[in-house]
Parts: sequence; structure tokens; C-alpha cells
Amino acid sequence: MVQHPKRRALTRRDFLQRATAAGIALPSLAAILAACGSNEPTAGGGETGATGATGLQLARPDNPVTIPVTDDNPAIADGLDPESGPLQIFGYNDYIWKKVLNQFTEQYGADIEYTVFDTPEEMVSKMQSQGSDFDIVVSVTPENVGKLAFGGLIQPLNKSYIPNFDNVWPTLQSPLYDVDSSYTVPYTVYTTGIGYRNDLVDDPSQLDNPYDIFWDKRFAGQTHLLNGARDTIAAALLRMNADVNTAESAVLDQAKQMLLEGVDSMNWKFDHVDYNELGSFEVHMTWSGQVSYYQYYLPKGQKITQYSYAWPAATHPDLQGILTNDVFAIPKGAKNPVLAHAMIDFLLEPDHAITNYSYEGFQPPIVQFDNDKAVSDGIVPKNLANTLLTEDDFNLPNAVRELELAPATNQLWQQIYQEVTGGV
Amino acid sequence: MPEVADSGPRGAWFPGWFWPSFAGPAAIWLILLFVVPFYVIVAIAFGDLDPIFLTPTPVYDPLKWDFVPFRDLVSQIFSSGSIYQNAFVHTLVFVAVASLLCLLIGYPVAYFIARYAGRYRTLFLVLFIAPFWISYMMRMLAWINLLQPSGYVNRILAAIGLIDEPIAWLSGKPLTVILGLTYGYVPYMILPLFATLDRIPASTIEAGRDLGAGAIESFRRITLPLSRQGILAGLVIVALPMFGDYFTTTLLAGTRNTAMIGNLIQTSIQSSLVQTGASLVLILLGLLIVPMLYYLRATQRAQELLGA
Repeated sequence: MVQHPKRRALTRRDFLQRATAAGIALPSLAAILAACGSNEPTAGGGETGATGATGLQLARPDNPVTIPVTDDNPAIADGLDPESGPLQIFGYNDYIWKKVLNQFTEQYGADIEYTVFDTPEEMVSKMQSQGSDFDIVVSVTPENVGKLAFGGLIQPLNKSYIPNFDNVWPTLQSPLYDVDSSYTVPYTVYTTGIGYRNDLVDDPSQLDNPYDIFWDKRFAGQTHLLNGARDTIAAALLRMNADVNTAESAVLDQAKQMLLEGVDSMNWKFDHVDYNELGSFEVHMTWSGQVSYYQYYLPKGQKITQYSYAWPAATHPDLQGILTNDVFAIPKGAKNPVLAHAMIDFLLEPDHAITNYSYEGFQPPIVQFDNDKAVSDGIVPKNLANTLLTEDDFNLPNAVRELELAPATNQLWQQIYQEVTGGV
Repeated sequence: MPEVADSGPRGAWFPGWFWPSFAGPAAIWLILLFVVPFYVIVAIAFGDLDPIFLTPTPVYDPLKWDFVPFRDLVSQIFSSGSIYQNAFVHTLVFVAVASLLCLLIGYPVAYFIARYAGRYRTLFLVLFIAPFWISYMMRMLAWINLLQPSGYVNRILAAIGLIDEPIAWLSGKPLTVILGLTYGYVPYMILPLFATLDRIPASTIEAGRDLGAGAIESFRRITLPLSRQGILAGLVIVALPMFGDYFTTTLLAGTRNTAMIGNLIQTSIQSSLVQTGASLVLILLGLLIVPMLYYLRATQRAQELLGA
């Protein structure tokens, strides 16, 4: 029997009433769930030394970390022949010039397959689930080396396959996050500073605190910060001249408030593709390597001489500046470990390193790299010569690195970052 | 006596399970590609975290679920000024306005194609849904170029005297996000509307005119009520994906004051806040079930009325 049209099982009034009730009930649901929940912390640890049962050690200038080599994760034996490949590279998009990869293929006869990740968090996540599918990871940053090594995701290196390791700056041959470079080798070095249009913005180095430029309302809507929890929050910590690896909640709260005020007044955008946005910003928190290839992405009518870079640590001894290096690592269980070692050695060979740099813009930390020649050869525009680093920069007392955070602290940083950016 | 299904052509006999079994492949598809992945999301939202990597460890046994992170998130959503509350408000406002714009733009287009295009109907239909042929990402990327300070949009507006200074369309304007969503989804509105309007018999409208109704009254009292199902279908088809959209606001605005729920889900999943992302998915699903059930109910009622 068909219902009379007026005898509806659910009228519009019923529907609205029930929807309203559901909306009111949701907070009650939260209360019910609270009664069912557990209050055990899911992660935690101290800020220096071992972190509980995980054994994760946090490298600091006063606590350099030697990552142990264990029997269940040894380095490969000496004297093995390179595999036939293909070599699986895992790295940021376009972080090794295709021309250099082709040269490697020509020399070793092995094809190369390149898988891309967009963020360090994505890299760590994929390494956990499919790390052994890759042979070499490019662009691991020091703040992730510890967790990859102590988490058993990367293998120790056999330096007998990397004779060009001797080309690496001595300062970086035994870094504090991996003493003796047991698991990693440096790939590029760069600073984090201020890229700006010098025809529209006065040199921020002339300010008492150059980091104030990111909060200068004259450039509201025209200022971008780097995305990623570590770099975005570092903008505030650097302005406060606070520890960029801090775990102190009071300091982080102050940084958060500073960023929230800036987000409202400055309408920041958060990204690391400034080279693709030339013409749409006047100030950009950026890496030195990015700036050096602005010249290849200039919009019509613009010249590279309109762009400048400032690294406050170089001009203000009382202020900190971030400098760091990306590293190579070889995943545990890599199917072509000898070939992976060969790739590392290949990229540390001066000709290949400099050729790669001419495209990449991120400087290789090798002793044969001549900063002056890079400028005179036109690889680096003269007005951007200060994007180049020297080994001595790593010994500056006010040069700081972004280092590993304890898991709980890392979680806090991520939450602050999400609150500041709103998810974009 | 075994249960007998309807007899087929020429009096063939089929067992009772025969015709229902045709739903089997769809059911298997639904289970494998919706139910199972959905349960994984639930297991992540209420699961554990790796102590070093903070990556989620799904817990599939409901008796071992931890509801604390979910509870905390719900509390934050109801906290005034929290990014989660702001994102939900942005999303609701953007989706409501963009859906309405899609309807206001798409309805006349569908009406024209259904009633006046004549023998060119197919051609017009193809032309108006041609944007489907290009990926959503490419269409939004094209808009970035057009909306640059020196882009064609500002140039045209300046040329016709509407603006003196270029408008910074891409610097976090909610209007830009709404227009982007509208542009991206309006083809999805046109098709169901066209299908509904096309089915309205011309004789029904003529009968109204014969009885003295003018053009506007005919539309208001005959065409519009009969196209209600198409409007609902179109609104569901455009609004549901908009709720999860993050790409549009990331490309066309990229600022905190335009962040939508999809942005929070995306960044949560890409960071060590995957549990938060999974919880947001569950909350969003709960939010969308209500209008979805209303749509299903309305459709069922409409079918019952037609049957009666």
C-alpha cells in the first residue's frame, strides 16, 4: 500500500530538529569518549641524551652523537662489484641534475629511477613503509638522521667505496649528528635567510634586527615564509634570538603568539617555491640555494639585479642564523647498495659536483669548490655572491643548525605549525 | 518448495538468489574500496603512535581504542577562535556560497540547453562541459596566471575603468577561493540539472500557459518544483567534493584566513599529526551524513510520489 503523500516518515521539521539535536549532542559525545579514553602519553623523552627505551639520541653541540653500528645492521663488505641496477633514488624533486644522472648511467651502465617526496615528514613516512625499495635517499636533513638511524631505517656506510669523501670539507667529515659520518655523507650546504626585491625593500641587514622584516607591515601581503614546522617557527625564534631547537613550552608559546600576530597583520603565504613566484613577493624567507637560481625563472621585464639575499648572522654577530646541510643515506635493505655508494662517490667528485651545482644552485661542500670562480663564471650573479658559504661559516659562534627534537617536542612543533598556518 | 524469483522471458525459472546476486560485484567493490579503507581510518584515528617516528599505528581491535586524541580534537573544534573551528566555518561558508553560485550559473545554462538549444543541444552540452576534459589542477593553475597582479583579469578590469590599482587576488582573499571553487565545480551542476529539465514534458508547461500562467509564473510554479530533484542532485554533487577540497585554496589563496578542513587534513597527514587528520575525516563524514541522508530521503519521497 502506498503511503498518503502527507504521511511522511520524516518531515522537514523532524529533520531540522534531529539535526539540531545531533549538533548539541556532539559535545556530549566528546564527554562520553573522554570517559572511555586513556591518559597515557604516547611519546616522550628528554631533550639531550637517550630518549627512553627507543635509544634515540639528540645531537647537540655539547652532545655529539656517535650512531652505533650493530650486528643486525652492518655495512656492506669491501670489494664488491656494483650491481646492475636500476638505481632507485629517493629525494626532493629535481634535486640532482638529470644531466649528471645520465653521466652516472653512462659510466656505470645502470639506469636510474627517481622517486620524489615533498616534505621531510613524507620522506620519513615512506622510508618506514617502503625504505628498502630505495637504494639512496638524497636530502635527508640532520634533524631526521637520528630517527632514521636509531629507527633502523638506514645502513652504515662503507667508505672504501667513497674515496671522494676526502673532498668533503673537514668540518663536515665528522658532524655532531653523526660522528665519523658512519651513516651519512653531506650533499649540499645552505643558509636560511631573507630574499628580497632590492628595488622595493631596503636592505634588511641595515636593521637592528633583520628578522623584523618578516613582520614589517609595509610589506603585508607581499611577504612569504618558508613552510614546514621547523622553518616557519624558526622565523620567530630567530627574531627572538632564542634556541631554534628549543623544547621550552614558554618559549614556543611566545614564538607562536608572535607568529599568530604576524599571520593576522602580514597575511603571510607559506611555501618554498619562491623561484616560481618571482614578481608576486617582495620579501621571502628562503634558502641560499634557491636564490641562486632565481636568474632562470625571472618574469618578463625583471632582472636578477633586482633581487638580493641577506643572512643576518653574517652582518650581526649578536644574532643567530641557520645554516645546514642535506645528506645522503642508504636505506637498510637497499637492493643496490654498492651502486648507491658509487652514486655518492660520483656526486662528490669535483667535476660532477660543480656541474650539478650549476643547475641545482645548492652548494656542494667540497674543498675544490671555488666561490670566486662560481661568481666569475657567471654561475652565481655578482649581487648574490653572499649566497655562497665557506667552511668557516660552520665555525661561526652565531651559526646554528636545526637539529633533532624529541618526539613529544616534535609533536608540539607540528601542532603549533598547524595552528599558525591553518593547514595551508 | 524452493523460493522462486520472477520468471524471465519465455517463462525461464531463476532461483531466489539469482537476481540479488547481481548486486554482488558492487557489494564487493564497496566493501573493498570503502568499508575496509574506512575502517583503517577509524583504526588510525583511535590507534597508537610509533614512539620514534610518531607515525600512526592502526589498532583494529575496538576494545583497545584510545579516544583521547579524538576527544581533544572535538574540544578544539568547539573552542572559539581555534584553527579547527575557523576551518569548519570557512568551509561551510565557502561551500554554501560556491554551491549557490554554481546553481545560479548552472541553472540558466542547463535550462537553455534543455529547452532552447534545439538541434544544437548536444553541441552546447559538449561545449559547456568541455572544462571536464582538462584536469582540475591545470584549470586552477591557469587561474593563477590570470589572477596575478599583472594578469589579464586586472588588465581587463582596469581597461573598463572598474579599478585604478591592481587587485591582489592571490593574497588570501576568500572571494578568490569561492570563485575558484565555483569555476571548478559548475560543470558538475549543469549535467544533473540538464537531465532533470530535459525530462519535464513541454506539454506540462504549455498546459500552464494555457491556463493563464505567465512566463515567470510558469517557471515558478511548474518548472522550478519539477526540477527540485535535479537541484538537490546538483548541489550534492558539487558540495560534497568541495567539503574535502584543499587544492583550490592552497593554489589561489594559501593563507590561514582561507584554510578549509581539507587543508588541515592534508597537512596533518603529511606531518606527524596523522591521527588528527584521520579524526578530522571522521568528523567531516559525520557532518556530511546529515545532508546526504536528507537527499536520499527526498529522492525516495519523490520516487514514491511518482509511483503513486
